[in-house]
Amino acid sequence: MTRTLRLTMATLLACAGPAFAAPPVKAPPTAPPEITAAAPSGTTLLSFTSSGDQPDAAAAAVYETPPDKNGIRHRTLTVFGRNGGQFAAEFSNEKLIACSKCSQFHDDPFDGDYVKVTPAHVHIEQIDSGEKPSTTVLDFVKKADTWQVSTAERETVVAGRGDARTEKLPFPTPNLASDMDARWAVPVFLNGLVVNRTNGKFMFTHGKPTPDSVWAALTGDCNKQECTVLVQQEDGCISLVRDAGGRSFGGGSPDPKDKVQAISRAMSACDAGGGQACKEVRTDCSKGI
Amino acid sequence: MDVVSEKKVTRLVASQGKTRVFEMDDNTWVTAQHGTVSWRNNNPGNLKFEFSGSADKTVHTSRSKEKALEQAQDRYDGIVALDHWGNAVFETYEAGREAQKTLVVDQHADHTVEELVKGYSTKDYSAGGSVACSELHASGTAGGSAYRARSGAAGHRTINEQMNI
Repeated sequence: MTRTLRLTMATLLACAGPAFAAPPVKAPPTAPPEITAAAPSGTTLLSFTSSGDQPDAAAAAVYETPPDKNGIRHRTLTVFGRNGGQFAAEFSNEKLIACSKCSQFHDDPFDGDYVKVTPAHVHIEQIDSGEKPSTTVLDFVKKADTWQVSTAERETVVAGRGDARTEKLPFPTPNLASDMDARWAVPVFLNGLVVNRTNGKFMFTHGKPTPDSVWAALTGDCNKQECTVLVQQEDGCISLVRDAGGRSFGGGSPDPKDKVQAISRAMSACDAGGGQACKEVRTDCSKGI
Repeated sequence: MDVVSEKKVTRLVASQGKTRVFEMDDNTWVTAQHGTVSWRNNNPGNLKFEFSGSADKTVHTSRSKEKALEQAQDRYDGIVALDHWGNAVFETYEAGREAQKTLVVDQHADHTVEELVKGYSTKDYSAGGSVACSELHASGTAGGSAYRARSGAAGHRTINEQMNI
């Protein structure tokens, strides 16, 4: 048996790939000065891909805004053609590249590594972080000096498990890439802490799009007459704290990796309410679906 | 709870068939053989991140293994690597269990237990056989050149212990 294992080990190690290490931090993209200079006002270059510097070369640049008040960065795609030894913008569109939280997991589907450019053709894949990922594929082709959409498909796998649903995104009329809408949005998922005032039972709710849908999901367990919503928010952590008398207090934090802040806020609410011997009961964190 | 090791996995050294070789946080190597993939990989939730070129030929994504790992690590704490099927390898069984809890809450909050079980479980294509592990120590003579070349700080090792679990 030992011999067998030794042979197995030798085979395994001979076949082993490189060690798995933490992904390297991506360096800022390098691009010709005309690409950097073409950044829309208030944006910076996020990615740059070109087919080379041949006379009929094409290039695709993605520019992004700083984070808005919700921490979301928005992107503009500009496609360039080679003209007189320099790249010149041929179309721009703010609706083709996903924002930094435009996925069901509120993660970033865009990665410049998945932009492929050949002369007269730009191919973009945007992939979420699902176990089975959802993917949006866009192809743009240049015909008679006009950039058109040739592929616009989205394959969605809800929560990254189960069957995929494929849809074709509608092409603009007339078919101009500059008018295409890839229909990106940040989906809303509400999380909450609901407590029954009569019996003290608590419920953590998760992933509902609206406050009404939260109550609908609680049908049979609770209603607005018996229950109180202690916390309702989108991504982050929610904590339930109770005092010695069994009174419930809630606190939330916007960072889904910061349980401590949520607990601290719930404890503060308990203290502020005159609670004695306040104690954490449960804290849940969530991001996206 | 039977776990591959009480130590933390820091690196997946090799992954083939039903065998995994891990480097642990004390620089020893541990081989996990047979059993279920959830046991081998400290992954009780069977989290599996599809990537292009994996052993799973039903996968059609263009996502690279590096991208899949990066996204997996961003979503779940404690993922060290993906094996050749895309199954996550967690540093500890506890980390894998936490990820499983997150997965259940995220995807099955409104489901009955029956719905959860039907929707959650998938066939473990790599299960079967006995469950065993071997722990490697920094002494001995066997292992072969490829093995020595990749043995890192712990130097020349051999298999001198086997455990049936």
